[in-house]
Amino acid sequence: MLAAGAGLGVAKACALSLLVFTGASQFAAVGVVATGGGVLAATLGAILLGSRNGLYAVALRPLHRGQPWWRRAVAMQLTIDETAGLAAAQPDPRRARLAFWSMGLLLYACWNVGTLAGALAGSVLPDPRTLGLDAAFPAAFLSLVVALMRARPARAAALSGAALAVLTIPLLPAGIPVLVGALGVLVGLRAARGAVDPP
Amino acid sequence: MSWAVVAALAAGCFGFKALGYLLPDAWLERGLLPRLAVLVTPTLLAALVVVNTVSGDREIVVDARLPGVAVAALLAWRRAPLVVVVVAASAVTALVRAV
Repeated sequence: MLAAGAGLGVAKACALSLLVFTGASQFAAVGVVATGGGVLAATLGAILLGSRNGLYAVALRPLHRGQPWWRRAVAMQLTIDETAGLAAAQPDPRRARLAFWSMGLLLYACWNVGTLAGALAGSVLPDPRTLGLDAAFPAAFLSLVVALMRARPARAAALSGAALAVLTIPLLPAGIPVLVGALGVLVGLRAARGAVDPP
Repeated sequence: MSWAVVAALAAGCFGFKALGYLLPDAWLERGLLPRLAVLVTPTLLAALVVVNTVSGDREIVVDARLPGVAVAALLAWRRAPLVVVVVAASAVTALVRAV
């Protein structure tokens, strides 16, 4: 729907969801274009936002070890916030793999069907805000992150990251505050070290 | 937005996903990188949550999303299922907007 509003056309909106498949990056790119921002800034910002998927991939490597190359390629495309979060919250590798694949494939299907429906409906459906859907995204991410925050280092990292991100919203262009939030891992590393070597 | 941009976005984002999987094992066996990787998921998700809750056009905007997300936080902490959390958050936000 957002893409239609920005004048992208159904084909491009669907292509973004099929090929990029990273919600935050897609929203960031479309959002900047919609508000008349430069295309270069939109593209760079959106790609940078997608860099966190690379870090998720590093975390998820053990899950896909020994799989045939084509399966790993599909796994790559499906590596995003939701699948990384759900997989990370599982107690063992078998369930983690199950979580990753079921969430990944389901989400890919829903995301693309939703994009098609949204793009076609364009201005016909009510504003997503009246349905409270703009709270749905953070709520979903919250559900995933709470499970990961039981350990102290993760908690410290997450809270610092959140604080850093919020503080930089007024200072930096769209998409960048989230990346700044990544610096919260440094706090988490500190907390982990503190737990291991007591003074 | 031209098709070239769509292609660039696709290539850039997929590139990052692939990179994480294709780095040599030796780089990741010990040291900083594995510990960083484990911490990065909760950190970035947390940042995403707050940014999606209070960001407007380069400013902090407190609106109906906040109570929705607050309710989500409570439910998530109480280990409610994902669907419940999302539906409750949307409902609360929609209600607050309607009032």
